[in-house]
Amino acid sequence: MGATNDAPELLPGTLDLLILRTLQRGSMHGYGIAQHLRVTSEDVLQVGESSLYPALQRLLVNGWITGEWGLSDNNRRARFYSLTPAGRKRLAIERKGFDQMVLAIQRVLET
Amino acid sequence: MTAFLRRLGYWLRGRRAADELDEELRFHREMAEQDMRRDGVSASDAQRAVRRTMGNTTLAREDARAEWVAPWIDALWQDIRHGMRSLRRSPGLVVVSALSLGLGIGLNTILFMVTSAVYGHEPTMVDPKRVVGVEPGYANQFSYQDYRDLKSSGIFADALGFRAGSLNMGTGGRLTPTGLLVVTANFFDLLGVRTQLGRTFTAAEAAPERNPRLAVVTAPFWRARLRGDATAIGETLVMGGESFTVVGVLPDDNRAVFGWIGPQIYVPVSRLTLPALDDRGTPSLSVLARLQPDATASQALTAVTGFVASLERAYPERLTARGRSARVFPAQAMQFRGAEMGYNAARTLMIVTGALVLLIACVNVAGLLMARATERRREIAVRVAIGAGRARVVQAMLIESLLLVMTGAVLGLAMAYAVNWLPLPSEMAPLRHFIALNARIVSYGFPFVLLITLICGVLPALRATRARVVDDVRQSGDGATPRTWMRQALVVSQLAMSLFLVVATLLFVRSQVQIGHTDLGFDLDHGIVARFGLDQRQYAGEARARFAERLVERIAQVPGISMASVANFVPLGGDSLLRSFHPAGRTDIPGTRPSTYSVGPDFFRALGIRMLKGREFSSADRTGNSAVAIVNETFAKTYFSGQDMIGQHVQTEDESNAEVIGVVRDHRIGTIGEAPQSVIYYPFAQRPRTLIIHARTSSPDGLVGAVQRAIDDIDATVPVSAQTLRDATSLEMNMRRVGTMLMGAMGAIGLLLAMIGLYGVMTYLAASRTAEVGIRMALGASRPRIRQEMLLRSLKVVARGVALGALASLALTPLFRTFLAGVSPFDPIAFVGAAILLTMVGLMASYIPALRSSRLDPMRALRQL
Repeated sequence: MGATNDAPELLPGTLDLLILRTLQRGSMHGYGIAQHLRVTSEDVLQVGESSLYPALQRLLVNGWITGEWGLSDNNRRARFYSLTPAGRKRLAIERKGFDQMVLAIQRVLET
Repeated sequence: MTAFLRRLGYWLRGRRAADELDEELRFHREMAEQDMRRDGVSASDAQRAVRRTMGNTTLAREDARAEWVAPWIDALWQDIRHGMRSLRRSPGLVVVSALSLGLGIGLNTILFMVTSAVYGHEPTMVDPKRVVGVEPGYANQFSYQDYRDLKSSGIFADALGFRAGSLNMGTGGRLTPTGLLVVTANFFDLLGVRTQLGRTFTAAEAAPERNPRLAVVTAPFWRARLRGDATAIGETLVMGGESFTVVGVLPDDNRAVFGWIGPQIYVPVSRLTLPALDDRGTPSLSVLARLQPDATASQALTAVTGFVASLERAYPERLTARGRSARVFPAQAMQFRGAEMGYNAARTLMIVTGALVLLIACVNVAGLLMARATERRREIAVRVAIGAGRARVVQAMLIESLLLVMTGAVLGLAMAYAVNWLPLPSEMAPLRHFIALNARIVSYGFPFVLLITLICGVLPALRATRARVVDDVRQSGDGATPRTWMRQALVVSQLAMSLFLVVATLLFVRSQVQIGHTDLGFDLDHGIVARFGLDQRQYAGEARARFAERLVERIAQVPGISMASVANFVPLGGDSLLRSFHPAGRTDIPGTRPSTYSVGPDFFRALGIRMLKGREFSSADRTGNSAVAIVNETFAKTYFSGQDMIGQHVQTEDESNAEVIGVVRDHRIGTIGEAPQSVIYYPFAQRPRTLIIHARTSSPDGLVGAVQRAIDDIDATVPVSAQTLRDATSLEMNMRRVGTMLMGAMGAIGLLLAMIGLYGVMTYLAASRTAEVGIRMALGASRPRIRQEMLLRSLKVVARGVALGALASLALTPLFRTFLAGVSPFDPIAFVGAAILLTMVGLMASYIPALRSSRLDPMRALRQL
């Protein structure tokens, strides 16, 4: 479906990893995830809804997270996502893969 | 896989899932705005800023949706909706193609149902792959004693035996021969057949030593004769003078072990039902056996061969191997032994005509779709121009074709379903339960629907999307372009196929009409026939001849009966027999096989068969007097051409020399369409065989009962059924009528389809010449002239189709020869008639498009240039 607007500063696939890692701390709604990513990365990672929500749908379809409707801090209806056991396993795999990738890139850059 | 299911879940929840996503996005946005406002940004600025950082919301939503719905599904759905919309705008196309395909698919479904009922008969049994038929080699059946040895030999897990037979059953004070299956006690257990009411007999209670008087009946018999309710269990059936108790009723879908005309009643093997029970030398049971759990059929065959060899050693005096070896074969093959060949011609005919009709229907729809694609050139060109890929446009058009074909398929299935209410001739009634539309047939049909879609849709779609936009807009429709040529070729071939169908129909109809006037050689309308179900011991030999004389004498006295005689056959009644023959002293004629029959005095007069020479048999032609024979015309011509037949001697393989005392006219014996065959008649008194009484009367329908009563006066215990001669020959007549009706339906459908097809192509041709016609009219061509030219053009196409079809038909119609009575396969009336009919239909179909193009508004036409 034509062009997408993924955050250009992210490596492909890393957004999934970051969402999974964020949800490891507990269930959270979409906006909360985006905020968390922005705050913990000290404003480096600004994830727009146009990449966040497709990613969340992708994770849902794969069964790595589940979504449940609940009330936010300000009493608004929001969907709260949490990790499934399969998601936990996926996180471990992706994390390992990412570490290897980073290591590999560093090696290349340092030569 | 689970991911797929979740995806499907989302897709099915569709609207709701999308709403939820929207709500989430809204929430996200509001939260972001709220945060910004808290940082002191004004409301409108915050909104704008959020929108900027967030990016394209619609795209986000689409991307998110794309995660759970593959984009192509969306596109497909879109095409389906678009296709439905655009088809709704052309109801004519939908109706015409649904009718074409509906007829084609319906007809083929019906043919498939019938053929699969007749040929795809799968006997009811559990785990049929492990059940095999067994033949010992010395015969194709085992004697009961041999069967017992085989069963206990351990070669098979178990073995059963059965024998089709007939016992005389008492109903309403009369005895009628009733078809039954004598089966070994373990029959139902081995096959795993259950009853729908009551039970099957157990091996213990049905042991032959106990002379079990038990019976299991089929569902149709139960309905017809036992009221079809639970009180049937325990009912007594008197058969062969013994009372049998009904213990069970088989399910409706039970299918007999040998073919679709199954027995009505199953009774256990015992001395009551199988007189040869103790005789090891009389093969009497067909055997089916279940293989040992780990054994293969070929291992079993080896074991059976050894087993038969040991039997031969143990009983050398009666077993002669006759050079055939034992056989082990799949259980389903049991039904086709012997009778396989007869059906094949009819089946081929059905398949070929069915396929032709379907093909014509496909060509039709393809033609219509092409015409439609032409009309839509601009639309397609626009779609391509604004960036739709060719594949996408082809997909859209194929979806449209699929929708059309599906509509046709639904119509066709409805048609096939309606067949369930169509009356079948009584001979085919056993098929009724199995000629049914079921899931199997529908599932077989589905790939065909796809195939038809491809046949109908691919060509037009590819044609239409060969995106030469400029060309397409400017095309002036010159008749010589290759594309028009292809279209015309399609129509020509379609017309040719239709012509063939029409020729075939006319041949069949002519033949049916001819049968009405055909000289059968005997008088069909003034006879009563009484068939006796005597077994070999009842009235054997000389006693039978005397019994026949007494019957004839008694029946001749019945008021209204002018004459009676005896014979061992009914012409066209399915009794033809073949014997090899030699004129006395001449064994040098190879392969001459006249039929031989036994007939009594006055037989030929009773049946209205004219004597050409000599005399009929008289009561003096009996045993002890000199052996005599009467031959028919064809016999005399074939073997004694130009000689005086009277006084000649003839001799058949198994009969002694007889002197010819008369020659009779030929008459039909086996089928109405048969070529005259050679026949020798012997006096019934000298060669008594199957007993059939023929009576002549002016009102057969009213006297059947009287004849029956006259027979009772002589012997009320013999099984007999009397009917009019016309009824006795009804199988031959009915089969013919059904065949003619089927062919007639196909021909009519073929004609209709050809008309539709021609209409489609002429519309197309007219459309593609719009511009040209416009110019010519602007330059002064008159409307009638334009119309005339269009008609002439289609006449040319029709003529080509008719010529091609006639040539093809000349090559193909000889295949029908056996089905045609009194009509040559090259019958000029059928050929000329079909050609005229098709030409007229063709002109009718072309008239509307021709009219339409002659009424063109030249200005509008020119604007299209």
